[in-house]
Amino acid sequence: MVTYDRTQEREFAQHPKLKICVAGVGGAGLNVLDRISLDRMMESSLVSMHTDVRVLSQAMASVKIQLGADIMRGIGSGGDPELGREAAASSREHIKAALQGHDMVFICVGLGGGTGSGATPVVAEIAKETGAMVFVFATMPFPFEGRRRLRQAEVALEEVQKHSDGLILFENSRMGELILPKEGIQKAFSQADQLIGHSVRAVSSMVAQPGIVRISMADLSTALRSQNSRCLFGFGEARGTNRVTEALKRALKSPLVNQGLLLQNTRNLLVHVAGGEGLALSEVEVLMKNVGKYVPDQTQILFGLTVDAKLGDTLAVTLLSSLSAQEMALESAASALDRIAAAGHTPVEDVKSPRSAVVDVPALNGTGAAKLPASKPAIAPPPAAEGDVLPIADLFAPAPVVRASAPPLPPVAELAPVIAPVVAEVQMPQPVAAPIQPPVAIIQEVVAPVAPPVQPPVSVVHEMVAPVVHVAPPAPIAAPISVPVAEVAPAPQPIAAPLVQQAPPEPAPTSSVFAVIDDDDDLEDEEMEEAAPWQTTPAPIVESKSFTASIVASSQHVESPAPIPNERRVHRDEPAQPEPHVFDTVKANAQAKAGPKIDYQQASFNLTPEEVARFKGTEKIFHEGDDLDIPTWMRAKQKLKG
Amino acid sequence: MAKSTIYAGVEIGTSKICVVVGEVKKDGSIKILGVGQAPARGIRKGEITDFDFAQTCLNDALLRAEDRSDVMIRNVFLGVNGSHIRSLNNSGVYRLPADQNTITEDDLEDVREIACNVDIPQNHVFLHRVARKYTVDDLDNVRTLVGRQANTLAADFHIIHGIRSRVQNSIRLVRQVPLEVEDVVFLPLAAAQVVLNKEAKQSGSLLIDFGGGTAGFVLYIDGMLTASGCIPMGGDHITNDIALCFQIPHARAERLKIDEGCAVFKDTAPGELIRVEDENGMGIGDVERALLYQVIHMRTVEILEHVRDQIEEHLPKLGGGVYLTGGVSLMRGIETVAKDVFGVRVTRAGSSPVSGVTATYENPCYSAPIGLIRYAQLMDAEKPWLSPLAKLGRRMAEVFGGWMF
Repeated sequence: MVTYDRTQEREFAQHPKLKICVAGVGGAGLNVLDRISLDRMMESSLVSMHTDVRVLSQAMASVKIQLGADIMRGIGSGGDPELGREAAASSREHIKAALQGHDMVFICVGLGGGTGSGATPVVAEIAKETGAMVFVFATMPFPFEGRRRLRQAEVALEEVQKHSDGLILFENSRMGELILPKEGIQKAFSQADQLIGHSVRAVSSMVAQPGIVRISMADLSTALRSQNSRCLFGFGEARGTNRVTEALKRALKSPLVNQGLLLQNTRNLLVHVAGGEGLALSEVEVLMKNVGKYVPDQTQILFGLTVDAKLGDTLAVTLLSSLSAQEMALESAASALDRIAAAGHTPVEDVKSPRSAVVDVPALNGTGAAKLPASKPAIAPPPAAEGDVLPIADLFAPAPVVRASAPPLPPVAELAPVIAPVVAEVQMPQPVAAPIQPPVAIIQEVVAPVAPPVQPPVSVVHEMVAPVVHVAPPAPIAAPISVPVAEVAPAPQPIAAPLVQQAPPEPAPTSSVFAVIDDDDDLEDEEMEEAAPWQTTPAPIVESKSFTASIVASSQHVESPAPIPNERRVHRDEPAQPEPHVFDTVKANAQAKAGPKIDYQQASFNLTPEEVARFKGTEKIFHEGDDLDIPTWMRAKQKLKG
Repeated sequence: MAKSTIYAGVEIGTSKICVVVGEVKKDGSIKILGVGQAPARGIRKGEITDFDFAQTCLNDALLRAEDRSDVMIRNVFLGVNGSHIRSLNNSGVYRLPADQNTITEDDLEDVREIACNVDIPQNHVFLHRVARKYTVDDLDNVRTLVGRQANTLAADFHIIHGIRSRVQNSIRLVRQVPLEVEDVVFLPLAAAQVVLNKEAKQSGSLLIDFGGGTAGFVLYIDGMLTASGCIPMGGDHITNDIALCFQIPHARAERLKIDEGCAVFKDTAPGELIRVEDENGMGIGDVERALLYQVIHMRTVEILEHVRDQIEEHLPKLGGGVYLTGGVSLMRGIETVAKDVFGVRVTRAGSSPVSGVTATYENPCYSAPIGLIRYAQLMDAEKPWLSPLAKLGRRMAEVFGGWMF
């Protein structure tokens, strides 16, 4: 008699195997792909896409697609997402052919560069069209790569989100936590690639492998569901006696989970446990109990369990969840602040600056005023903040004397300090899509009819800086402001000037001084950079007799009711801005020119070089403006004299 | 410690380079075997400016130390100093895994790692991570940790770091001799090991190592290292001030400062002159005593005030007062000035008694280098005892494992 072994587990119905495709876009994407293929992590077709043919030729993937072969000619996109987008669009057929017929498509990409940010939305869109489930694994650039790249990445991210079922985002700055700061950079990057590779594998195996408690696609998308979400991902493997705690500990050690702190706000948490045949129920129980400690009660825990003989003694835990970008930002800002506070020194400020950028972008889009084509930030200068300060700043350079002689207006100082107030003050008559056009065109349009200055400005001068694009400020601020502006704008300019900004000339000194003071503030720096095209392009168009030669092209001097805007500004004057400072400088300049105090300055100038005698060539120590190497008695004497 | 061990410490100071050889006996007491010293050149504000000069001086000092102690020096503990050295306090919390409720070695290791994980500038390197206290479930200052029942474990660390390249320069100087650097020690911290006793640390004390080029300080409160740092000004600045004020050569000014200098100028009668002579005994000028004192006074006050600015917040907790050590602490009247500046009790102190060359240990000039020996002893006591074979193994691992640091 043939006995039937009843203990035997029933066999799973043979599902048709899920077909998975992993695509790498751009340089960073290819690196991840290489890592995946090197580690032989998964069975899937690998597709690499790049604009740069040299990089592509070194990739290990089986399928390679050269994006925009005919328009780019094998040269990279050079950091311009628009080029990347066009390249991808022109290779649409190739991409489609490669992605066709897969159930899941994973796209690995490093955002911020040209190909990555530009092509990925297109690739994701195509993948979606083929009917596959699309997951995007993206890395955000390091903060030190600059705000511009970060912005490009943010823009691309938003695009990608529209076309993907799940977005798993890795922030490079967090990747740094993976390894000790002293370790080699190569290791850092390969670790990061490895983490991404692991997560790709984990997500795919989670869905593809049959399990006792299976995780379906639906579960997966539930876990990742929430608008503008950032993925929390943790993966840990361990073996041995204490493998449950070890594996969970490792999963929580993942920088994307931040020691489990970030899990406190999640609504859905997907936990997938995979183990060999020795996996015991008690182990799973302990594990889930431990996981439960990190999440609030109302969180829905989606649980999956796979027994895979291949794993042997190993226990693998995967945590997957999502958090909206805002919550994430809050959390990490808080922790960053803690860290700064704990460290007791401030140089880590850049942690915060990228955040503000993140907030900026949607805000602008929301108003509808500045509909930047997502990929175009390189060409069209980012709206609002940049535009206005720079011509003003520039104003100062050629004609400082004039500025000094003009009556120092208290309100002006306020313009300089932060960009935010400036933006707020500007009111656009109607939302115009102007920024998309090349600036020159606008200038012609606006300036030409008004070219002759209405009145040579004597004391208070208002400028209409035409090309500057401004966004209507958020409602509460806008309300009080719009009135005076409306008064000013139409009066001198019957022709419909689409964009009018008013700013008295005095902002110039302040803003320029500020630029010096705040040199380290990258926000300001970038403005200066972006200023360049603005200053140069308009110049030839308008000839002007006004003294502010370098910016007249883009500005117009009009007599206008000064007091109104001024008062307004005074109201919103921010505390702790160095206005007195500014005027001191201006005054000092004036005095220096007038010359009554020259001897004093001479005296102080003489002192430094020789008097440090013995300490010549050593690192100077300054304290509150004093060079401490100069004898104390000498400094005291000088102070008495002064 | 089952046997006596010989350690050597090297201080590369602005005014002198000093090598101290000490023996730690079986009972833990220290005996100073010999001190080699050479006036330093090519060093300003605690940092090496001229490598060759400094090299020669170090060689001199080393030879003298070897001569006197009759020990061949191979490994040294190197003291470093300089304005680039910064410090901060950081704490880290570690939650024990749920299925475990007693603290193990591993947990300790983890909490240390968390507490020491701070952002220091890219070009900086950690010098010291000193445990201040451990907190177990909100219970402060727990000493015995392993085996204790707990849910959370918190560690508070004082972290001292400095610019990597500068620290490496000092190491390079010593390595070229050639000597092997066993550890790099922040000098004021070393000095504190021998100047401050347990009681002083417990009641809150500020140690100022007022040296030639720098004024380093460490602050202990409740027995914990709370603040440390370095002001890049010292005796050299005083000398420079004198030289510039009276237009006399630097060497004369130094002599004048040591022989006649005083930091208090209030009680001096105006008009009293000091004759300054050159090497040949020829008069090169007269210096008014009151003015000299005033110049010294101003600079001393300034330096001390800079130190005070750095520890202002802890000033009320200084029960044990201020301890002055280092060469400049020998200056007359300095304790009066320091008392004015800090408003607490001021003690001039050298190293606490150690046996050996009796002349050295009491001199505050040597408290830092002697402190190096004490520091070495403490470090070794913390290390698990290794058999010679294991030591050899470790050494091999070091050699083949690449250049540490």
